[in-house]
Amino acid sequence: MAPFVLGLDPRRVLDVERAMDLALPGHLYAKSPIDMACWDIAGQAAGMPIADLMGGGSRTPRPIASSIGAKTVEETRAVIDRYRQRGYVAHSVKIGGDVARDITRIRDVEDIRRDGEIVLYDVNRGWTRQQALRVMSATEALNVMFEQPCETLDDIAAISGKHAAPVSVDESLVTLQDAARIARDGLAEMFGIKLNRVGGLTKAARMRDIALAHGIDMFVMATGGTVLADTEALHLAATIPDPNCHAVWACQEMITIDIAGGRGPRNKDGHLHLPEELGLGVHPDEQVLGDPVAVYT
Amino acid sequence: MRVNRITLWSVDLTSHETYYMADGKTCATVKTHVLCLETDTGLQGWGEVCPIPHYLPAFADGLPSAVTEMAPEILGVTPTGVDAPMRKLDGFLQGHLHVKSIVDIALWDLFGKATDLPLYQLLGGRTRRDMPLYHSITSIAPDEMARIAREAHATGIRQFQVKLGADADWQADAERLIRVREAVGASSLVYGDWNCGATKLQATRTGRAVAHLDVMLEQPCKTLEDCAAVRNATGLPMKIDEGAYDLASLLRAAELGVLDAVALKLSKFGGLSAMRRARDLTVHLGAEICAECTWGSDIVTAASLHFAASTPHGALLNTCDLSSYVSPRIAPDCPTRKDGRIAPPEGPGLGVTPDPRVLGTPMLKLE
Repeated sequence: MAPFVLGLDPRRVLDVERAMDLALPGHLYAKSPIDMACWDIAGQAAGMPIADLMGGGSRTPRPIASSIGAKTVEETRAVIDRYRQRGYVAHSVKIGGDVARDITRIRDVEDIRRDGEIVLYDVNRGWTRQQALRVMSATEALNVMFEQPCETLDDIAAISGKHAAPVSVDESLVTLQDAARIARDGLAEMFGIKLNRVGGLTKAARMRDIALAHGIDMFVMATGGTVLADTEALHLAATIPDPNCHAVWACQEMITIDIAGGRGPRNKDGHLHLPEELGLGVHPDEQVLGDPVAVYT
Repeated sequence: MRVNRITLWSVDLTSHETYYMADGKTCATVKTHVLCLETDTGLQGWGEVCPIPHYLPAFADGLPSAVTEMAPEILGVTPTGVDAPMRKLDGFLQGHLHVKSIVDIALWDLFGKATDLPLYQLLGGRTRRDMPLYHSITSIAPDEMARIAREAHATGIRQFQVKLGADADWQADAERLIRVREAVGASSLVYGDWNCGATKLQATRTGRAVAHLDVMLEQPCKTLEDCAAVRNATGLPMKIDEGAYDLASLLRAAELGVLDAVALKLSKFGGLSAMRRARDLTVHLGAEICAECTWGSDIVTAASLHFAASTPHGALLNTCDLSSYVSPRIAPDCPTRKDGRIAPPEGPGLGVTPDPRVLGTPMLKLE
């Protein structure tokens, strides 16, 4: 994509987006960092944080969702406790694979759930249709939410009339056409917007607008990465009205390297606060980054 | 028997005539990649993929890194039965269907050589002696396109794909279809292809201007829903290409009523294993199949011909001898067209022998 992007004005993010899309269909994860860097420059040039340049950023701190990858009831309790001690009020509990165990773990987590805690049960595409319906029916009285219960949107559509649980779509939300279909056909009540999967802030902002126009709430996250990726997601989250944005993520807490020396938004009582610096609001330490793998001029 | 060596080459293919499509997409000289998988018993299986620029979610220079990434999963595979190792590969690296295609074709070639059977036998058995070819006409001035159509007709071609949208002018597109339709006689099939490059409005205006003629439209817009709107507004049959790339999209296209015909391309679906599943579903859905690949030379042509030769009666629209559009020829023993038709190779596996002098020095060798 480099020959198509070099020479463009990075503040004109739509020009850059179109150039990338014409150069190479797909490859949204490779377009996402280019889009992010352009927004960073645009914000610095305009003298604003990205969220404000995008139309206005809420300063209400966003709850960070934990990521609970435990298997047994006891392990799940232990991991939730560890996150609670760091202030977390939002939890993404990974389930899937075994109907009986999934039901037991959901019941136990709901038993220990505190007032005001947000819990999302994330299946990560792990259920077939029958497994999904069995767990969803057994836990119906608990009024819980599930993320990406099955592999495809067709699967999620097939079960949608047969259960009462709110559903968030994550892995199957890739293009704006996906967002339009989910909204139009009523396949989900929540979008899990992952910036690297959907191709960056420019494309994610359109999904946000489709969600808001159809009464769909949101989680906004990076697929992985450092504080830079967390901060990008936080800017988009800040442009969503407070009641419609349920949680963000701090992937920075799961990795062993810090490329920004403690700068940028960090966990404060389980929340991330929008930075007031210009653009993205956090710069990496180039010495920690080391030698670049490629430079294009 | 296990795969114990992977070798990859890159070869520049130059089109005999530069090919223009909608949205400024062109095909002049493009890179194809050729893969050889060798077994500990000394068999060689060949694969090829050539993603043309700006068309698939794929780019040629990504091939070496993707093949390197998958190499630990490819080395050690026993190539008798290809679906199982390909499913495992799908779990290892999602997507990247064009890379799956080059690996899958090479595994099928080994499967055929190990069993001493041509691939059309392993793909279900031969259903026909030879297959009709279509000729794709680059999107240039309508007069010139009619000339190309007449020349192709004189060589026996009876199916014509008219590339549209090069100048985003709906009247020029209507003229292209009218002029080619006049040039090729009533029994020929003519279809106009926008490669996703039209809006619903442009495509509907063109379609309605030619609605009195016997023409089909192909993939005018990006989404299947928009293609369905064009089909409903024009009443013209529809061929889907870019919008059909897996079983779910085929089902969706059928549900929307746009699946009169469909291009099943190896690079788009991820090789012969995935294409065979798509073929069986397409036959069930009652659509006609264009069996081909995006671009390339003799290896993808041979794979397409075996696939086409084993497609059930009544379900094959046409196939494509991509190797006739480009030079150099990579495996000169691959069959060529005769009177607008072509037969599959006869030897075991793909039944073609790549020429080492054309391949040159490999860019990648993994053991």
